[in-house]
Formats: sequence, structure tokens, C-alpha cells
Amino acid sequence: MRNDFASLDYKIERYDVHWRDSVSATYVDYLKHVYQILEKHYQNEYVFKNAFLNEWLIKEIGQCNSKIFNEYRVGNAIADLVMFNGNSKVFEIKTEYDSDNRLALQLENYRKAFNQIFLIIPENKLSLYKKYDDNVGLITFNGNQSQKFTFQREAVNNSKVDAETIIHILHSHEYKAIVKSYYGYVPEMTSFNQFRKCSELIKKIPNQELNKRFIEQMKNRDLENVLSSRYYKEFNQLSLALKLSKTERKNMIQNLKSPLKA
Amino acid sequence: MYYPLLRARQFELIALRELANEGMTQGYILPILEPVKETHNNLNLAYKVFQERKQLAFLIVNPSVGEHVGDNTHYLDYISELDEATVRPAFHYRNNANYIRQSIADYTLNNCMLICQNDVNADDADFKDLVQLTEISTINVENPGRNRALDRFLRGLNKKYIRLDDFFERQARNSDFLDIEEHRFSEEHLYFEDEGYYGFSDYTVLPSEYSDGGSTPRAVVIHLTYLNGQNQIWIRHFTSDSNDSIANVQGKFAEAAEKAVTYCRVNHLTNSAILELETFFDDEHYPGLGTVKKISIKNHLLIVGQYLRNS
Repeated sequence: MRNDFASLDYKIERYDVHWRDSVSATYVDYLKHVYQILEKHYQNEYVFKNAFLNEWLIKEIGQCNSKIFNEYRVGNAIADLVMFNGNSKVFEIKTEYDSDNRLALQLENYRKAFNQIFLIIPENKLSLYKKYDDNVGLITFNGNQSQKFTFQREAVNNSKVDAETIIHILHSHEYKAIVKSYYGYVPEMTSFNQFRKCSELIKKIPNQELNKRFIEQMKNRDLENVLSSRYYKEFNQLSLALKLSKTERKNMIQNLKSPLKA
Repeated sequence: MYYPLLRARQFELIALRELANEGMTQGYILPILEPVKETHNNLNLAYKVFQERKQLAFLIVNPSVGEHVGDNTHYLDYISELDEATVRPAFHYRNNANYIRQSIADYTLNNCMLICQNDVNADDADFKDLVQLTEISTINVENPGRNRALDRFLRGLNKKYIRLDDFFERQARNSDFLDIEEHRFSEEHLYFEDEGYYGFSDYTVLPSEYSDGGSTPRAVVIHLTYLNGQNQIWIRHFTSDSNDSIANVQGKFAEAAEKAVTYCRVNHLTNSAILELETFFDDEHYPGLGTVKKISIKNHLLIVGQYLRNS
């Protein structure tokens, strides 16, 4: 971001010093090279998530006005990826290197706020996760095929969301907007008691209505969609995680295009 | 003289501006500001007030943290535009005698402060030469007791000699402050003169480590210092109770403020910072976390200033 390549230089020095010999190589080239190696030999969460964004979610974003969030806090858990369009979806990624220790707790939290839950898992772990929860959708990953992701099972739609959980996700202007939109007014309140007063009102909103308004608010959150399905796909997950704007992403890639330090 | 070392960020500077406007710091408190932003907007606002209200300050020209770290000329260029009766230059010493010497010469600086946070070798001839420059008038040493040779040498120089301490113990999580009872915070103001220091320096009620921004906290804490019966400075950490999620920071402020305001009222503690907190509490208004920090800083400087003025 700050045009500081010291940490990259250090890694090139240590692992790939021959890259220095090339006259034309840039940092972008080097990072793409590293990404390819990861893709082939070490499918960590970054590669997994990035591939899923590129090959799956990006098509959906293109079609309708959906919104995607990375590392999204729900109750006591943090979801890997969530998406809001007509309904709310949460995607939990379990790579080869993740354990399922926290999964039960995560699912319990996700169910309180989301209509559909999907697990994204390595193909060879399918039987293990299949028996976990019948309502959870399953998508498998196999990095060695051209079609990396396979839809294995649809998620059962859950329309019962928990008002308490949702209130804790919302920012104060968002829960006020929900109260306003359903009741047509916001009660008299101070910044000390607004949370309590709005909570009480939101808990009385019928489930369907609340779910709809929650999704509406999330889609309104100010977040630019900067993902690109064509250029520098390797950097999509990074852009989402750092919440880069279009300009910031452009500048970052521009900076990375500078030649390696000799 | 008290030399609080503060990062030149928005709410730290607002605290200093308000105190200068109230006339509470002049002559007793001389802040050392470490700039952390590339741009000078907040500093410019503070500078205007300092100049008008005759509040002196030091500005570190080679910061160790922030957007423009290291031995460069960015802040030297800035300070050379300012009135030297208001802002004086301070340098971090980190085996950079050449840089400091060069900067003093190039910018014809005077009344400089040297801040020694790392262990300095008392036999280092280069350092000894540097501190003897007449352009360096103040030397600020962290933990001077642990380097006796250096300490004795500096005391012999007839310059303003200041000690720097780091009192604030940060906790891994804000909610950890809930379990911490009131405790002694500092007593340098009682002993610095007897021990032959011209002044004392610390990071006020903030941690010495720098972090930019940060995410929404699960707990809100209001750190308030006060003088006990023996004129020692003690601190209490008024902490919110419902800290299980990041939602409702307003309600958490209400919880912490209620504890703080009740304590101040029962114990008849009052000053402009506490009054401000009481007003927010009585109006049930959440002012934002920056203002909470500002109130903690202001209160601490008022406590120290009040002691120095009356002693």
C-alpha cells in the first residue's frame, strides 16, 4: 500500500533469489507466480476463498445487486463469507488444514441470522461433513480440475431469524432505520437507551418482515464492489479483506507493477 | 515541569488546545508531540491556539511511529515555518548523531530536546559530543536509573535533564480492566526536583505503544487519575459491564460513565474534564470514543498541573 516492498524483497532473497536475474520481472509477476504454487501445492484459506470468489460468487454479483462481506461477525462467530441478495447466505470454508472443532458453534450462530448456510470443503472430506447437518448446503473443492467447485447439496431455506442476534449485527443507524421503516416513526430516545428501545421494537416485528429489512440494510452498507473476474484475479480476496476502493486497488496493482529490486 | 509525551492525533491535540484555552497548562506543562500523520491539519489547529495562548510545545521531527517515521526532513521543513517561541524541535536519539547535527546546522535550530529511549552507551564519544552542543538544551532519558554512567555524565552538563517513564499498563482486552482495582499511578511529580531533575515525562494515561485506529471495542473504559491524601497520583479504570459483543457502544459508555460520575460526585472530584463527562452523562449523550480519550487525558493533565501550581 505504501509502496514498501521490504517484506517481499526479503522473501525473494530467501526463496527465489534467481528472480532477481530477470530484467523484466515485476512484483505482480512474482506474486502471481507464488499464487500458482499455492494453488497447486498448498490450498490454504486464501487460495480457497479467492478461487471461490472468482469462480462462483462473482457470477452472482454480476447478475443482481448482491453484496458480499468478508469475515462477518455473527453472534460469537465470524463467518468467512456472507452474501445478501434476495435472501441471506453464509459460506463457511473448511480447508484441508482446518479442523471442525468450532463448526457446531459456528452453525448455531449462523442459523440465527441467515437463510442459507453452505459449507465449502475439500472433495475428499465430503463424507465427513455430509452427516453434520442435513440443512446445510455443501460445495466441494478440487483444485486439480478445471471446474474447481462442485455443488453437492442445496441448503434448506431457514426463514426463522433471531431478532436478538440481528440487532447485535446492525449499526445504530441501521437498527433505527429498521424501526422507522416498519413502524413509520422512531420513539423518543437518547444515545444511552436507543439500543434498548429499538431492540424491544425490533423483537416485535414479524420474522419475514425483519428478515427482509435486515437484508435491505446490509445491501445498503457502503461497500464498493471492486472484484474483477478478468484482471488480477489473484488479488480479489485481498481487496475484499482490506475493503479496498476501486482507486486503492488500482493504485496497489500499479505499485506492484514496479520491477523487482535488483 | 511536566512533559507529557503524546502522539499528535486529533483528540490528543484537542485536549491540549482546550487546556491552553482554559489557561491550565502554561508554565507547568510542556507537551512533547510525536507527529504520526503525513499532513499537518490537526497540528496547525493546535499551533494557532498555542501561539495565541502562549503555550510552549516540543515537536519530534524524526518520529518512531506513524506515517513518516525515521530521520528525514518532512517535519523539519514543517517546523521551520513555525514560530520558535511556540514550538521547539525534539529528536529521538538512535545512534543518529550525524543526522541530528546536520539538521541543527541546516535549519539553524535552537533549544532542541534529545529523547533517549534506547540504552545509550555512556562511552560513546559521538553521543557525548552531540549532547554538549549548545543548541541542545534539554535531555529526556527513559529509565535513567538503569544506566548510572550515562546518568552521572548527563547531570554534569548543566542542561535541563528530564526522566521519562512509561506508567500505563495496557491490557490485552479492555474488559480486563474490570478486574483491576484502583492503584498507584505515578509519584514523579513529588520527587523529581529532589532527585535533581528539571522535569518528568510520561505517556499520560495512554499506552506507549502506538496503534493506528483499531476496531470497535467490546468494553468501554474511562481512565481517571486523582490525587490521594499523600498527593500520590492514583488511577481508576471505570469499565462497562456488558462486554459480550461489539454492539451498543453507547450503552457501554453509559455504564462506564455512570461508575465514573458516581465516584467523582461521592468523592467531590471536579475539574473541567470531569464536568464535561458529567454533562454527557446527565444528558444521556454518547460523545464518541475520541472524546472519552480526550477527557481522560485532560483530567490527568489537570491533576498534574494543579499539583505543580500549588506546590
